[in-house]
This record gives sequence, structure tokens and C-alpha cells, in this order.
Amino acid sequence: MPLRFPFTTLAMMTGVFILGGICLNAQETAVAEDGNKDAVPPATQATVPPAAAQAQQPTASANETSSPAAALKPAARDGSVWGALVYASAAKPDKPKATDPVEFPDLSKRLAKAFPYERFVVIGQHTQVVFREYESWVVPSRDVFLKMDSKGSTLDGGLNLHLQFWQGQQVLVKTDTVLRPSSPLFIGGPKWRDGQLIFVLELQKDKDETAKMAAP
Amino acid sequence: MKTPDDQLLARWLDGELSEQESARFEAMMAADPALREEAETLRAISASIREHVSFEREVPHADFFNSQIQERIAEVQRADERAHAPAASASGWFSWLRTPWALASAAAAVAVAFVVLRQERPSTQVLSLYAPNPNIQANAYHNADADATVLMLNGLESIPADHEIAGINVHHSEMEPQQGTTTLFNEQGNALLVMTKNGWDQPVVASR
Amino acid sequence: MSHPTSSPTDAELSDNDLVRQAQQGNAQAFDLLVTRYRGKVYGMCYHLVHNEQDAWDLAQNAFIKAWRALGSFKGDSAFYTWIYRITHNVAYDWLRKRRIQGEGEFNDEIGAPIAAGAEAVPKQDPQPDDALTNQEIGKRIHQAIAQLSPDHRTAILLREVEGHSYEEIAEMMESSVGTVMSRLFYARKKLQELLKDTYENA
Repeated sequence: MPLRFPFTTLAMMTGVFILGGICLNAQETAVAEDGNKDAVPPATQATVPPAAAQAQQPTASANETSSPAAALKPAARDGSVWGALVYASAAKPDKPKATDPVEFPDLSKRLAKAFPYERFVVIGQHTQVVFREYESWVVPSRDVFLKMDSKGSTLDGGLNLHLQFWQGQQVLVKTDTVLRPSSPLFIGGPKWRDGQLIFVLELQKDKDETAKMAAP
Repeated sequence: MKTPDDQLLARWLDGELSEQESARFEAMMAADPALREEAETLRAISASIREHVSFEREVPHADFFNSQIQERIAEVQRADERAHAPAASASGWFSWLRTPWALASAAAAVAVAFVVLRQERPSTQVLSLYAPNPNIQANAYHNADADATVLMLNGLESIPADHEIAGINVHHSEMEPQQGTTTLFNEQGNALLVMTKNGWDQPVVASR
Repeated sequence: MSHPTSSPTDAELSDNDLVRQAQQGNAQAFDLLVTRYRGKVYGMCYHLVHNEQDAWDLAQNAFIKAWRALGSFKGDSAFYTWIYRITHNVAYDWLRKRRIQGEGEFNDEIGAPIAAGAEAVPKQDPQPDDALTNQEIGKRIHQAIAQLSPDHRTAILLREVEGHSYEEIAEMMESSVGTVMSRLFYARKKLQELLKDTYENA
């Protein structure tokens, strides 16, 4: 019988329901996680050199529980995300144009198409590993932040996440979202002063994807 | 038009008179000072309008304006497609449905296919949304212009203007699963915040 | 007319080229038309309703209505004439609804008079020694125009500012040339009356 849907759709659905349990991203790392971090905006930004990032791992693992087995056990990762809190406001002729972060060079242009503002200033940012077994937080500010729970990867490089968007002690919205590379999520947050807070979440492209998938 | 003279005056103002009519009107104005005054006043008003008034006006948030129109156009196109979608033929559809795993994923596949078939590259998808606060309405859509998925929340309370919003740049975090805490550090290795949860499973953000 | 463009090739595409593509479902072609005419469409709406939010909504509705009605555009008139007509309809429907809901007589001024100097962009910089007088004149002109009825205001602006012919204006306002000339006549009479003091020594 001729199939009515393209193979990719079938493959994806198959992947989500049948292969979801198979660990695709096993990686031997300590529980501690390193993220890219840049200088306080709007100054110029520099990414953390890999050597420095690696150096922090042993220190972190020393803070783990006393059980040696627990210290060595790798936490399964499902990729990492970049989160930012952006303050959007109207264009101001006297103020200079806000610079976009290195992680997202065309941020202002794209946000301007989705929201009625012209000026987009990144107030805080946080790159966070998404753990398979644990919830993780993306906290670019104390005021609004995100809780993430992974529901596994999809075959097309997407990440099935349960997200909770929190403001203080109140969860504003809960969502099950499949986050895909190069396809950011813009969350319209509360208005503040002359503008609005916007939360940006993007799945980081993982260079080690193929290596991970090949791991037993 | 009240009188032929009024018509003449109007057409003189608009530069629509022929040479002969122009000459005639000039003569009329020379003979009638009141007419001349009226004509000159109206001409001055016209000139002022052209100088001071513009018909065109810059659209605020122009990119957003265009993008909103594109979204509504996409909605129109989707509605048209749904109205004209051909009914699934009996044999192919149902036999595919009978396979066990297909049954489980059939409903989801329909929704997904709509999205996958129309896009060259799959984008972030909001599968479900829930806003616990009844005053808040949550909606999500894919904005093709921005190439992003937008999650909108209506009914949020504004943050007071006197409240300072401080952003932080988190460099790395450390999780302590047994204690249920996550400590967030800056680049210098100083702890910025500690995330924990209280008895009601709510996050507690504490300074180090 | 010259139009703002986003790339060299956009400028080469005529309105009719873009309309033809849009008629075949090309939303990007329509997007270029939106960019070309949004200033005029929004401007027309703003002159009628005097506030940004409503003008925005009306302008959006005008473009969506145009998209839906693309099939009926035959190319026998200019695209801008057609889009102005649609805008005019959308704005007038809105005004009519507000009148029915008790917002006031249709012929009276609707909306507050325009704030001094805050609105339209001046066409040229005033001479330094005339600055004050010129600015004051501009303010009074805006206030006078705002006090005209929507029909009179639209007619006078399309004629004086946009320079359209009586026939074009008739098409845009969906009325006869005679009606257009009548509206222009009354608009000018009213302006003359409102601006009596300004032009005493013209």
C-alpha cells in the first residue's frame, strides 16, 4: 500500500516513540557543567577558552558526595541551550544601537519582526547543559527564569523539553516544546517601564553529536 | 459647486484652466478685489498645506507590522487549505493505520505532517501550553519572518517601574542532586545564586 | 512616484509585477508591496482616526483585505489607487461603526485636534528668521485640517498633498468626480473660514 506521508515523518514518529529510550548522548563528564559565558553587556564579549572550561571540572567534582561511585558517574546530557533575558524598548535616537551577543548575531533584527520594539538589550545570559535525568535551570536573572526537564532527543536533532517559565514564585506558563537547532523560542514576558522583557532560548548546535551517537 | 465662478476658482487653484480661461479669470480678479483676495488666500492655504502636511506617516515598528501581516496571510492560506483538503482515500490510509505503532502515533502524525510538509527545515514546535493563572492566556505560533517560534502571554502583570531588574551572566553551574540544589557561578568562579525548591516544589532563588 | 526599497532588484519590480506574483500566492511579493505602501496606508488611516493604535489596526486590516481581494484586481487602475480605495473603505466602516455606537455626528470632527507640531513631518526646514511664524502656521493648518469632516479631509489631502487628479480621487473615495469637486469646494471654504486670522494679510 502506498504510504501517504514522507519517510522522514514516519522516521521521526518512530524515533520519538520507539527509539526514545535509547541513550543517544551518553558522555563521560562530571556532574558539573561548563557553559559559555560572555562579559556583561553591552561591552564586547569573549567566549571561555576550552582549556579553562576543562580545568574547572575537577574542582567541581570535588564538591560531590563522598561516594566515589557517585563522583565518577557521568550525567547523561541531551545537548545544551543558550538562554537570555532581553529588554525590548522603542528606538531612542540619542541612545546608541544595542549590540547583539556573539551567540546570536542577528538577535535584534529577528526580535524586531516578532515584537513591536526596535531596541533589544541583552540583560543577562546563561548557557546550560540539558541533563537527561535532572531538571536544569536557565537563569539569566532572578526575576524571570526557566526550568527545563528533558524528554529526550528527536532523530532530526531536536530536543523534547518540558519548560516552565517562572516569575518569582509563580509559574507563568508550562509547555512541552521540541526545541530544534537554529530555531529559537521567543517568550514574551511581562512589560516593564517603557518596554517588555523577552526570554530567548536556543538549542546549541552540538559539534560532538555524531561522536555521541556512535558511543555504545 | 454653487456658481460657475466657484468652479472656475477651484479649477484655477488646481491649475486646470486653459490659457483662455486663465486670462479670463485674471481679468475677473482685476475687476473684483474681493475675488482676488479670496483666490490668493485659498492659494496660500493650499501652499501651506503642501508645505506642512504630509499624507504619508512612518509606521511604528515597521518590521513587526510587516511580520504581523505575513502571519495573518499564512493563517488565511492555512484556512484555505483546510477548506480544500482532499479526503483521505480508503485503502492507503486505513491499511497504514492498522500497523500497531502507527495507531499510537497517528493523531500526532497528522498534526506533525502539516508542519513538516510545508516547511523546508523543521522548526521548534510548541506541542502543548498551559498557563495555571486563569488571567493569563498563552499562545504560540511560528513566525516565518523572524524564523523563530513565538510564545505569547496575554494578561501578564507589568513589573513596577521602581523595581530594578538585574541580569546575571552565568558561566557554569554545579548541581548537588542529593541536596537538590544548583549553584550558579560567574566567570570568576564566584557563586551568584543557589537554586533550590521549597516544600511546594516552587523554585527558591537565593543569593550565595 | 519613488518608493523606499530594500534592495536594487526590488526597485526594478513594478507594482504590477509584484501584484501578479502575489496573485499566484507569493507572500514575499506582497510583503514588498506592503513595504512600499504602508506609509501611505497608515498615514491615510492616521489622518482619519488620529491615534496610532487604531491607525495601526486599520492599516493591517486594509492590507489583509487587499490580500484576500487580489483576485479581483484586474490591473485596469493603478495598484495604489486600488489599495487607497480599500483603505478608505476599511477606515470608513470603522468610523461608521463608532458613529452608530454614539461617538458623535459623522460630519463633526472626530478625534482630538492634532497636537501642535507633533504630527506630520515638515516638508522643508523653515528659514531661520521665519521659524516661529512658519511653525505657528503649520500648527494652525494641522488643527484646521483635523476639524474637517473625514470626507472633506480625505479629499483635500489627496488633492493638495498627494496631487491626485479628480478622477483618481473619485476612484479612491468611490464617488463621482462631481462629488469630489463639491467636497473640495466645501473643504476649502471651511479652511478659509478656520484660517481667517492666519491669512488676513495674505
